[in-house]
Amino acid sequence: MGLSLGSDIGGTFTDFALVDVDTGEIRIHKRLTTPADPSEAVERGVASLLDGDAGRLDTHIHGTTLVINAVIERKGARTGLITTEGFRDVIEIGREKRYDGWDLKISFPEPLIERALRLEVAERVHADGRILSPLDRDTLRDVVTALVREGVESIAVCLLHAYKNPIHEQAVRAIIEETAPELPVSLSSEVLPEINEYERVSTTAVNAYTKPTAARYLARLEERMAGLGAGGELLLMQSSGGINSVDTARDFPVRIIESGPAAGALGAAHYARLAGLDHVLSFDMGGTTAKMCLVREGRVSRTTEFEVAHVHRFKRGSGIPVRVPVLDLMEIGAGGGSVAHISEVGTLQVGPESAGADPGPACYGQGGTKPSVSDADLVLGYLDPDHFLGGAMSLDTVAAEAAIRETVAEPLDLDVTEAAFGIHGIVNENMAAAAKVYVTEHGEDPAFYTLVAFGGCGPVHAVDLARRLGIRRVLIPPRAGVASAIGMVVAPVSYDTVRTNRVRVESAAFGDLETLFTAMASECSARMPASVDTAHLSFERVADMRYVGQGYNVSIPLPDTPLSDVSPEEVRGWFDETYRKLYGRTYDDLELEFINLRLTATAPIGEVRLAAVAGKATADPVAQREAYCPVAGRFITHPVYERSDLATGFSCDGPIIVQENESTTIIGSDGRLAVDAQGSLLIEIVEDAA
Amino acid sequence: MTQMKLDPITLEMFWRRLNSTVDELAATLKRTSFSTVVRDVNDYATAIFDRDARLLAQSPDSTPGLCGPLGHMLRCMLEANPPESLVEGDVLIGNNPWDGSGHHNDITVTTPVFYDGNLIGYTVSCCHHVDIGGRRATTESRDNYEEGLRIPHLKIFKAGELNTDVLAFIEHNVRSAGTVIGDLRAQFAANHVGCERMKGICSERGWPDLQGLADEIITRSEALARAEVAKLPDGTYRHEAVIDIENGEEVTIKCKVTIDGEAIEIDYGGSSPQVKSAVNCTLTYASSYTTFAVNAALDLPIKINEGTLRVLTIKADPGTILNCTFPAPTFARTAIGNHLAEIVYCAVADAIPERIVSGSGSTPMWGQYLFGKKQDGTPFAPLNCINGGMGARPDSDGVSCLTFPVNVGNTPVEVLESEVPILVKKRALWRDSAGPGEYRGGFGQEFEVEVLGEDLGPLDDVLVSFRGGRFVHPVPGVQGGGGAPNGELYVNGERQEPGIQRTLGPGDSFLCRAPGGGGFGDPAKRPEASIRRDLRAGLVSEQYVATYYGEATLADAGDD
Repeated sequence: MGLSLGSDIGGTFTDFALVDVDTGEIRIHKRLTTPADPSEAVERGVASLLDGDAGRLDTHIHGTTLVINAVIERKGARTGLITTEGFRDVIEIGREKRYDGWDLKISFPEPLIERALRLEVAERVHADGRILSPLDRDTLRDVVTALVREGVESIAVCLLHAYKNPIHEQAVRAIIEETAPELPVSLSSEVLPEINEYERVSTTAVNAYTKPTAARYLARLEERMAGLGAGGELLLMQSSGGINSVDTARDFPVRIIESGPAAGALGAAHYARLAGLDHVLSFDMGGTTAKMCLVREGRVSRTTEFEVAHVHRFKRGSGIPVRVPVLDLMEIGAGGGSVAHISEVGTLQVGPESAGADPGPACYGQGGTKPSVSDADLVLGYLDPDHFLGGAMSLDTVAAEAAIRETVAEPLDLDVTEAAFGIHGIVNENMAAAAKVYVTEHGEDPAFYTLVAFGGCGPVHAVDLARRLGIRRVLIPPRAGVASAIGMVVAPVSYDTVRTNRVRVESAAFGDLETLFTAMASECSARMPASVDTAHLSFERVADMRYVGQGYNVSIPLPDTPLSDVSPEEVRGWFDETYRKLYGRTYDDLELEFINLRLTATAPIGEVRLAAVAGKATADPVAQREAYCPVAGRFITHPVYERSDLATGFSCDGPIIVQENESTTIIGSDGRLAVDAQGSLLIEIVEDAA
Repeated sequence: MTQMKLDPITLEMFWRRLNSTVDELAATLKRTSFSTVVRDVNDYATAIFDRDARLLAQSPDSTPGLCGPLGHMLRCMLEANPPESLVEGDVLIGNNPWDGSGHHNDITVTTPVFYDGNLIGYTVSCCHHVDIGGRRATTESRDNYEEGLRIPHLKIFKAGELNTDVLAFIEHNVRSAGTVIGDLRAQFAANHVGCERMKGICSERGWPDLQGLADEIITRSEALARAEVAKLPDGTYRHEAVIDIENGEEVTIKCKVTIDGEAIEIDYGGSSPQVKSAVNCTLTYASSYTTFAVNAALDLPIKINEGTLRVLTIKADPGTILNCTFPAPTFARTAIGNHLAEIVYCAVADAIPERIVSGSGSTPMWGQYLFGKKQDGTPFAPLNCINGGMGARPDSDGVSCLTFPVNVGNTPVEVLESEVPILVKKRALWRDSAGPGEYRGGFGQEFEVEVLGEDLGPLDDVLVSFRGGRFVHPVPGVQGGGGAPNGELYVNGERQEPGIQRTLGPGDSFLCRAPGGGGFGDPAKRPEASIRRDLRAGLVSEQYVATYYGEATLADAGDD
């Protein structure tokens, strides 16, 4: 066994984690992202980390924001669409609903493919897969010629009911290949063989729009890695939380649309699993947003409801829908840069506007005058002005106090401490409210969960957030600054498939469903990277089901037993179990139907052991600091520990502050800290502490 | 016991808490409800009231038809069941259209909240139920008794004990009793969660009740709303609109908006008398759409509550289409109520153009009820909705094919075709269907359907009942913007009158053309680039451009 490398391109930094699979020894690295050609920073980072070991590299797992940025910045390919006659406007008409009922100025993203490049061809397939009218090949040739003449660089094909019968879409591709063999083609029946024409065409369009960009980038990255003499296999992090080959990413760039947050949650989940925790709420709080994700029994919560390029960042429905498996993240506008202001009704509000990186919070001393969450954290003693980012940057307490005093404290007739804790408390309250809704929607109770916090601000806010959620345990994994890169190293290889097969449970031919699952399993095997032994894949089956007449699907995990052997009663039992957990009741008199079948194949993963951080079981504080304790309701003295001094077995009662380069952990007088075998900080919140 | 005045941090936290509580209840109701109108049309509302029945928070994505009447409904319920007669564990139920939201399908459930033995407020939920007995969804009922079960303001729970007599009455008078009762139980459960949250706030803060919090919320909200109204130019603004209903019938709505300092009065005096068809609005229902229109235009940074509602007074003469008297039939009151936002906006268009939207082709909602059986005998009865274009705005074109002011999305063609034995031939933007203007309206929609035959076709015929509007009186533009062309409906290629029901067999087809939105501002001011963009997209014809924007523009556009 050799080395495994994770590299993750973020907006500001590109992060790296290199693990020696034999020893568990880990090296991390961080450097500025190179936006003009992001593969440049990757090459440099890899070069400096490998440092002569290039030949020992087994796998390089890479995550990139390239695809999502191409969509957001509208820098993808000039793309054409070929669709069924009568339906070229589906991509523009959408679902016809207002995502904000009160907004008279409502707007939606422009379609990625302009109307003049959306062309129709006569053909028709019925919902049951039967061909009602043949494909008009003559018109099709004209359509392809017209698109080529318009200079399109990529073509999306989305025909009605192609999820059920892809034969016409395949014929369209054959004819495009005759005319323009070099033109990349994305078929909806391959990108997303799932019912609902708007979401399917939208997803296929995103795939087609980003395909040339992704292909160019991946070729360049492969070249750079080869240039370094880096051996091994290059794999890409998908939005689903699994990794897969460069070929898959080239064919389906839409599958790698957002990988960073997925990897971060996976990294948190990894440490939680090693700590023996099986109900985890991962909590990543950075400069502008906070993201949470449920992890149950080692499984991250996933969804296919995803949107990109929102008109309003936090309004669901205002973006371009992309139906690929993604981590089910709850994201809200709450971060260190979130700005505090006085609302029109005279109350104190925080966010969702952010001071960003420039000018940043007032305490950055870059000219910012608006009080932000980080300013409040500094004034409350949670941040050390001389130890921010490991001392790389010093913070201006006077500026932070002034911003809070002038903008918040004086107008509201509060003292600066009250105002600062007001800011800190309100941002936590906002996160808690959003988290409660998110967790409840999954049929869970936060009280049974452990909060696993990372990101620059996560550990600062985690304990108080946990209190507000009724959570009693908080885990702070080590190396939180490169959580995404670490998540990549520990992520499994996987591939997700879906097929719509709408049939009532009572009249379903279960043998046919099993045949479908078998076909999906073959598709998964064919999509596995070269290094994976497909004989040892594990498969997870899910059926999207609903009561006939009800509009929402519920994802029902199916057991491993072949479906051909089950009865409708057993299926109802599986459905009831999940439905009751989510909604508290079932309807025994209503019929059930299958909508989609989903199959995820996962390759077995070797246990990646990451060496625990060194340190001492009996460390001494490096300082004492006055900080505000919400339990005591006033400033009290907190001993400050350096995280690298703390080793497995260290324990201590709050109040404590633990500082490290990437963040600071604040533990109130109701907390008890213990360091676990991996070097994670485990904090128990004691109910009736004074 | 009086409370300390609330500090601005605590107030923010608990105001937010109340708002997130109604969201939590709404999310639960929506996901557990069987009623498609609850789920897809947001035809439900959840709300929290204080001890004095003042609205503190209401689910923001509720249909405009429930924007406001819950308070009136609650006060009527409390007249029948005075607060001093309520005990912990009581739950009230009722569906009087004149007290509440205008038709019987909307059942309101109210749970009084007790903390430490004292009444501290109410949680209220109202949902459109799948059935309420009587005739089905129809405008043909000629009085309110034909429109299903009338539930007086009763206790459905007495001190925690389910009133099985009342429940049995409901159960025996509705179709799909299982789902109706199931959805009612969902309302009881949601209300209960709301009670727990309200009590939780009291115990967390050590408050005896929520009155201190309520006073702050209402006072500050009212002040903010009044300050916003004060920015509007005083005056009296009028508009008169004619709405075609069905069978050649039409009604006239007269609207007088008076802005006087910090208050607005909207008077519909002089509007047409109530009609035979079941499209009559109760005053509570007319008020809801009017309240929605005013609040959307005020665009306050806070959600509606007792304070924001206080700036507005709404009047209509008894016995008229917007204040019908018992026992007028009211089932399809949306056919009229939907128009009120546009009518109010047209009245104030020249006074506050920056705050309004032009007329919308999606007002009223278009759709078809399709009744029949598949070859295997399974029945189908979906309502398929399609939307015209939304009106132009003072600074942007209208959005094409977008529902307004209700919020009803479409059914995907692939879903529709897997449920109903039809083939959709076309769902497309309707060329030249938008009203011209400096900013044009959104484009309307062409939707064409053919009934399939043989084994893919229906067992017998398909009964199609068409909804829509603007067949006679077109969508208006504002501020010099043009109106949109009338809606069109064809069966087998022949023009049809609205309000018809048709029996269709294999090979028969229909085509709906829902109009676009009205324009905003003088078409002469429309930038050439925008005209050219629409031409290139094929959304407008050269003839349309020549007619509305002039030959010169067309000549320039030619060289693109």
